[in-house]
Amino acid sequence: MKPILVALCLMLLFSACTKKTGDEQSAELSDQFVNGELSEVAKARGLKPEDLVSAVKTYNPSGALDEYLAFFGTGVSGRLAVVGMPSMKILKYVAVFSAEPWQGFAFDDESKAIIKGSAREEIEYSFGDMGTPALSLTNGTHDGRALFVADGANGRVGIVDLAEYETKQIVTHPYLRNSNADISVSANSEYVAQTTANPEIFVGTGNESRAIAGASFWRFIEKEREGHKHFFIDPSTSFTVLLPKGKQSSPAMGKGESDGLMLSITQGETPYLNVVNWKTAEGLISTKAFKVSGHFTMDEKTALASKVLARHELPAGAYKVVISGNGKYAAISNKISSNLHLLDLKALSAGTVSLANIDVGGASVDAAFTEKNLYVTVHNPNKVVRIGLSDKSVKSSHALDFPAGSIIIPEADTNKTQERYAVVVNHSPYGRFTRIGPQTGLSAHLLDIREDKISSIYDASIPQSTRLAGVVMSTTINKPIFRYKIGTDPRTGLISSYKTPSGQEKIVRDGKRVHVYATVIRSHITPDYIEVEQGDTVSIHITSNEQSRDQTHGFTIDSYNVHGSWEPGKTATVTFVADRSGVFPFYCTEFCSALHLEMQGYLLVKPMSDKNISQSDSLQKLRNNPKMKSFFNYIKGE
Amino acid sequence: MKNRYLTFMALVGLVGSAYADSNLTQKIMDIAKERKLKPDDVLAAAQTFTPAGKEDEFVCVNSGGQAASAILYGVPSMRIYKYVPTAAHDPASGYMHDLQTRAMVRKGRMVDSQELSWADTHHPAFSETNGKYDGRYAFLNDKANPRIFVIDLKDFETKQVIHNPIFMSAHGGAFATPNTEYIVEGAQYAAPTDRKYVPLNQDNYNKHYRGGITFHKFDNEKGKIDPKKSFTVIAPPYSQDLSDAGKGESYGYSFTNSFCSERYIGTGPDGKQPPFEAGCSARDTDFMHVVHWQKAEELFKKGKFKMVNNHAVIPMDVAAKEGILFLIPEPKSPHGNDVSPDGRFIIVAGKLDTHASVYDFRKIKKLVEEKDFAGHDEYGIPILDLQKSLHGQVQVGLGPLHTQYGSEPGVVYTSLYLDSQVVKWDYINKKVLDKVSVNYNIGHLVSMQGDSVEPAGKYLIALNKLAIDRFDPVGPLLPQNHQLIDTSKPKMRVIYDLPLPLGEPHYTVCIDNKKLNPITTYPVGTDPVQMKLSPVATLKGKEKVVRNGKKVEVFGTLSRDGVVPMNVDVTQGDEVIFHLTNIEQEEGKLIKFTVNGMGVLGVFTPGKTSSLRFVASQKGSYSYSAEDISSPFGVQDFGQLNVKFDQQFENRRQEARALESEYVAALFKLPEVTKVATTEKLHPGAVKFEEYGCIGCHIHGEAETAPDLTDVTVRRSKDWIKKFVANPENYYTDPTIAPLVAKYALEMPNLEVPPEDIDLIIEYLDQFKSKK
Repeated sequence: MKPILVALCLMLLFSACTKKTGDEQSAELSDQFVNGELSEVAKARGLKPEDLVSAVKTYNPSGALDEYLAFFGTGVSGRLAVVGMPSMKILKYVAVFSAEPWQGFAFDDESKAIIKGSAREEIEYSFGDMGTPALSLTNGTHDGRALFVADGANGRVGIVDLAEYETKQIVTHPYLRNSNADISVSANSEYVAQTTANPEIFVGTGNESRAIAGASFWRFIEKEREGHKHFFIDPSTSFTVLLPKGKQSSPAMGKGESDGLMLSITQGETPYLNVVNWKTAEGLISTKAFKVSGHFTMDEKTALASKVLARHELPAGAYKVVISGNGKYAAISNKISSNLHLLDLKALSAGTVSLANIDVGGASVDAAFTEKNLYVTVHNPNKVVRIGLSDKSVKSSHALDFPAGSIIIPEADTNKTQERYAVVVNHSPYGRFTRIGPQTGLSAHLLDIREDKISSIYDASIPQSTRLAGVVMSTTINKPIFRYKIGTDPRTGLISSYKTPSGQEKIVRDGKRVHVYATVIRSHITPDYIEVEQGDTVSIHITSNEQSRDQTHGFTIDSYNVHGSWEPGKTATVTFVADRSGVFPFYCTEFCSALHLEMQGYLLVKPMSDKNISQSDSLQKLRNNPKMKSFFNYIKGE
Repeated sequence: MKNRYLTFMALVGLVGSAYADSNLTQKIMDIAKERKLKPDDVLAAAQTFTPAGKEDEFVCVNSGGQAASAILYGVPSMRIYKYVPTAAHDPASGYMHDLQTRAMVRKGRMVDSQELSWADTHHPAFSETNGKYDGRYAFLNDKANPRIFVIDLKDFETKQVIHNPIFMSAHGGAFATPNTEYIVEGAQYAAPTDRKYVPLNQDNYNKHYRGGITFHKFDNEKGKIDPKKSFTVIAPPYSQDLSDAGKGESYGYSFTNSFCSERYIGTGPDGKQPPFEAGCSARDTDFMHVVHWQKAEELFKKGKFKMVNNHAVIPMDVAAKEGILFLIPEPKSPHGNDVSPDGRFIIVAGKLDTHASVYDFRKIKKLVEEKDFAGHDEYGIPILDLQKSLHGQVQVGLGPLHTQYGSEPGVVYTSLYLDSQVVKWDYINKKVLDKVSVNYNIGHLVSMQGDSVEPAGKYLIALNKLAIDRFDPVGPLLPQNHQLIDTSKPKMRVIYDLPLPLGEPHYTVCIDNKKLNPITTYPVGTDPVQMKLSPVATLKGKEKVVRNGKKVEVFGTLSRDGVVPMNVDVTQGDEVIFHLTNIEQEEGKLIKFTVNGMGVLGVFTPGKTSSLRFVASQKGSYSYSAEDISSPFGVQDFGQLNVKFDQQFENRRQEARALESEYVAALFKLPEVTKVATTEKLHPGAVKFEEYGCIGCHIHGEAETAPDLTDVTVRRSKDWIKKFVANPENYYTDPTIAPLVAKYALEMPNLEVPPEDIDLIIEYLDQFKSKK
């Protein structure tokens, strides 16, 4: 019997082989392939079949694009991480709050001005603590224009232009020096909300000081300027509503039925839900607010009296609030009870606080909504639960083997979400990856939420992170530019006064002030010879005359700590004082062509005696003013 | 079909169990179908997917390029793990925000009067013992402000920064000799050795501008470079490029290629000569510099050197006379010279020559020993005959840049920048074995442990410079694309595309993960820079505040419970230093410390002590907090820094700020530039010609960077021009275009010019006819 079976088997196998030849040549997989060649590779690497499922869910062959783009605030690096989903490949770290030489951010004059402009007088900030960003919305859906991100450590907000993935503006709160790292935006991007985390000492009109909390509303405007859409935060029409003192949670902006409301929680023994009606506040700015350091401010008494602010007691342990993308619900996490509180926002808009308690089996860390469900990360035991919004019951639960942090669902901040993926932040990925010493970043754990059973797919390593908090957009609306119109200053979007087309390079001298109008294009820098005198203040305005996709040049002058990045068409300036005489090679730092190494030049700095320098240079006199120098050297520790 | 499938599966069950149950098999097939994955893609997915808890086979250290940091990623997972800071502020780790790392970087400054806040890092190297990677250190160079960074692989942190005292530019570093006796660093753009001002003209350039190769002595006991025992062999201004240390047969020698033996100086002070890239490509060969460093070391020990900038220098004439420096021609403006694992062969990639040249060290040694010279260069340095030094040359393709060794004998991989390919070939038998396309325009490449005596084979990584359309676009500045290639079979296969989200790695070295043994915590109170107990470490319960006039030192501790002390009172104008110690000892218990609104930041790994200094320059109350990064709940409590008002300091502050405003206004005053009056209206085609960047390469009357378009409408039909501009990529292999591509080493890019604009441009070009 057996030999016949074996023979049959072999025959079938054989015929299966010949039959399958056609299949193998097609692009589709065959089960023979899966259980043959593929399984060999998997076994050799110790992969389980479940791992193979995860592998095919995340693998992108060369040139394949992702479904979503996740934008992560990474904490104090000051850089925004852009990650493709589901491949979990990190595509870019956009410099927002910290200088970054590869991008030239805060290395060229134009971008230095953005960082310097956000200083509090002589206190300059070289980093920012970034949490959950907000994507600009139009009618409650992502419009792909801009991304807002807070600096929780120093009370600032940055805007990244998503046509270019460049930081365009940083605003600084005039008197609230700290904030939560997460930020929220209204359904038509009218206002970006930012809340204090720690109370601040506020000096009132009578010079008395008291501790307060604050909710700031930054006005976001889009205008046409020289045929070019230009958007920005307008501090002059922004305002802050003061709240009674207390540690405060991140803000959550209402949408749809709750449009016009901002929610936050004052934490403490008795937590309070703060409901700020920014639409009402907006209308009362001219009559009921006063200017503090030039910024419209409404004090907490006035806010309560004029129905801008309403407060409601919450159960002990409530500490964080998240609003659904359609504005119907808010999820309030609780640190000490195993109840998650679901707040009906339609009722709240009508003035009623209607809280439904849902037992999630542990302290709730974070929540994210889809249209039908609410997902909650739970601590002790570590898991993620899915709650059906129709009947407010727990539908499924997925255990996690790490302390789960925030949960991020694509488009959860919009009124149309897809139930496909979720990311849970792993704050302690040690031991999960190849070890490379004590200093590592956090991890993004990718989940599949398409089926009844939630499953884990992949652990992504996101270096440069002391925090991970994100917002996710569909790649269908990601349509950035590849080139600037020749001569564009990316920070303003306008054609720079320093634009230099190829063939019009020149060196302009005004005493000891030298302006070089230069160009870069494969494979030369023009001029490739610059001669100045010791003590000269030199600005090199470079215009890239390239227009090809991905054709970037860099520029540096050896030993003068000068660097920048020139994307196709961009104009930007580097300025330095040529205070050392000698021979200084300069060159293109970004591999641009076969003759990239030959893209070089020389700066010659002719010696001049100190006596001659100071006598002929009024700029030098200003720069070397002892009172100014000693003060700033003291500040910087030099 | 389904019945057959079920029967088949049942029968398979008899001969051997299926790997996956039919459910999962079907699932894999369904998902692959939905995501349009071919069998090859799924294989690649299985080769790279790495679940949590599984370690990588290899760890790669990349240079960050202008991002300065060294970038670590694992193979085959292709997960990026860390950006190791070297020269730039790295807030994510607190690097250069604390006094200890600032002092270390400052100590390695190129010149005392210039603070440096970045580096252009190019080539990492691993420390070696007997030519094998030993997993102790990694080294990285800075091309722009010549310095070397020493990274300790116990914690993957930078421990030493030293500067090169005589080079202004150094590309050919860092490369380790087989027992890490020396770290080799070659110069790039020539400059006077003593860094003094010498006007640029051809005569001065030839007489006074120099290059060279520096040998930094590495003290293997201390794990630091010892500048006092380092020396440089001066070389002519030939624009030295990349180096490699000899090993085995060639132990005691190092090799450095160059690309501008023309000694070209660019358009010159009168701006009339052709640009650098034309002038440096004129000759058919440049020079490989062969340095007998072991002999140079003997000379150094005997005192036969000059001191320049406090650094021992062996002048060219001494090097030539004493048989330390030799030159061998190499075609044509090459990039890279790579020594074989047994040390016998050196492969030079031609860059502008389509050949890879394989030099035989045995032949070179014989020529050197027999003083069989083909001649001498202008500086008296002996030149060896090219043909007599060669094992052979192999035509590999367009734009060969860099070669790496595989684990099979004789097998090497070379990157082809222009062809955008990797070529696998046999350097012993001199034949091409295989080619694979990479996307796009590969620079360097790395094979696993490829430049050691024991290449591990298995994988190759193509460091592609252009990503173009490989990933979702993220604005005009796009990531680089590192492609992982499976080299385990005769035919190479690209199995993963990794975007590099920050920086431009030039070069990578990859080590067997088993050779690494990093720590996970520091003993409590460690200063990671010194790797010993910090003098300002504080133990739990010993926190205190020490005041000394206007200096306030807070000795505090950090733990998952927060920061101690929780309150600090200072006066406006005080210099405040927080010396903080993370007293946790659990892996991953990193604590972030900020003083809000003050711009003060520290990131503390378990056990770490470091000092954060700032001036309390404005009155007010500032919250500060210690956040346990490993906790999902964030900050629990915050402390308070109270800054009392001080009128005197406030006056000083306001006065300084007013002066600064005045200075800044004067500094950024827009220059008055006379407007060029246009008496004639520009042809709309001229505007387009500028707008699309054509003007950048096509300069009327010149043919240095692109063909001169004078008479183009005479020699080509307008129809042809229109088709060409619309799709230049269709013409790269056209017999009339291919020679131009080779001449300029550039393919004209497709600038997506709409047809109506092309018409305008052609109209404009029609005006440019030569005078009869």
